[in-house]
Amino acid sequence: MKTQLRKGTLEMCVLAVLARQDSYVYEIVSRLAESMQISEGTIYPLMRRLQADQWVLTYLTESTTGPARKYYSLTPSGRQMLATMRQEWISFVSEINHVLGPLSDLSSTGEPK
Amino acid sequence: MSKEQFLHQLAARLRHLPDAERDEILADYRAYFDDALSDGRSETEVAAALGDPERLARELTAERKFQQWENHKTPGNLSQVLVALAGLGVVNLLLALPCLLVLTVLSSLWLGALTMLLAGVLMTGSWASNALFGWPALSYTRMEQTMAGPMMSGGQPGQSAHISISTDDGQRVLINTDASSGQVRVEASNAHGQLLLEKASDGRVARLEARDEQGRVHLENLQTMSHHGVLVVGLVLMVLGALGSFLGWKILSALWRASGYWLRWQWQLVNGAPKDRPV
Repeated sequence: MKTQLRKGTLEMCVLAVLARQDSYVYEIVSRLAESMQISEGTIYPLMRRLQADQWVLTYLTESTTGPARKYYSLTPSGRQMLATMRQEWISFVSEINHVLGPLSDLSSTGEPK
Repeated sequence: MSKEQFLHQLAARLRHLPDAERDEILADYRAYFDDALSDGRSETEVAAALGDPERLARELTAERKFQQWENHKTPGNLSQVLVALAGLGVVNLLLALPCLLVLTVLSSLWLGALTMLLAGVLMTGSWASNALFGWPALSYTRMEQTMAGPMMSGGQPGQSAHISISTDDGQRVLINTDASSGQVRVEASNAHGQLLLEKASDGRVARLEARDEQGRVHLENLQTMSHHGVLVVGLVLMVLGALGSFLGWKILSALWRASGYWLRWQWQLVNGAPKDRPV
């Protein structure tokens, strides 16, 4: 279940990372990997999708060490989409929490997490 | 798998893409490898983390076809998306084919309705043109122009005629006119068959029959249309055709949209991501 949830929310997470600052793919992956398990292979097709949806745009920056680096930046519509997704996520989580009941119920039934 | 092996395989799988696009994808993956390597990871490790190049290439190709279809919703692009998705194991083509078949049948029905509309417009148009300019002649199906003159001249006006020619070996030609009803009957026969033509009093063909030992062709009650008939039939065809075309168009576009939603849903299954596209 966790895998499915992660898959479904990865797009939102990438947008959230980019909302903080422009970034390149490897940095985005590293950022995400700090707090969640991700499969690296899915990121690049996802970035292309975000680009096709015009939620992000790319630009090249000269780097001091190697070739020019491709940076991704959130567009206004991407920012708007992130806000919508965040809202949906929060209401979804609260719905689920409501169904699950208070945390004490969980521990009393001894259900494994 | 080494970095070069990975890139090589990916390039081979993406060979159908336009050069610029393929080069961009490859450059991006190269950059990713370089970033990961300077992060202290090994080529093998990164290649494994990125997954199977073949699967990756299929996904990228499907993505591209899907974008094409989103931009231009032609049946050709749709089928390309279906094939690409089938390559990813998402869509069972065997299931998709009946849907395409239904779409095709509906399209032909719709074309039929359009043809009806066209015929109606043509008929009404010729009626209007005939009423205004006397052209085209609407009575071209009537027999009297080809038959009545010479036939009727056989007898005196107001008299019935009966002509019969026969030979010993059973060949016979029979011509009857009936002055009171205006009917004409022509019959030609021999041992092997018979041809019969009957003209009714109002000039239409009442009966046309050809017969031989094998079988029989029989036409009866051939109606010629009056001028009003042409107008009425034309208008009816127009109304039916217009209704059919309109409904057909509605159903088709609804189905087309539905297939779009379905495809998008399939696409979500691939991506595992909700697509809240502003429509």
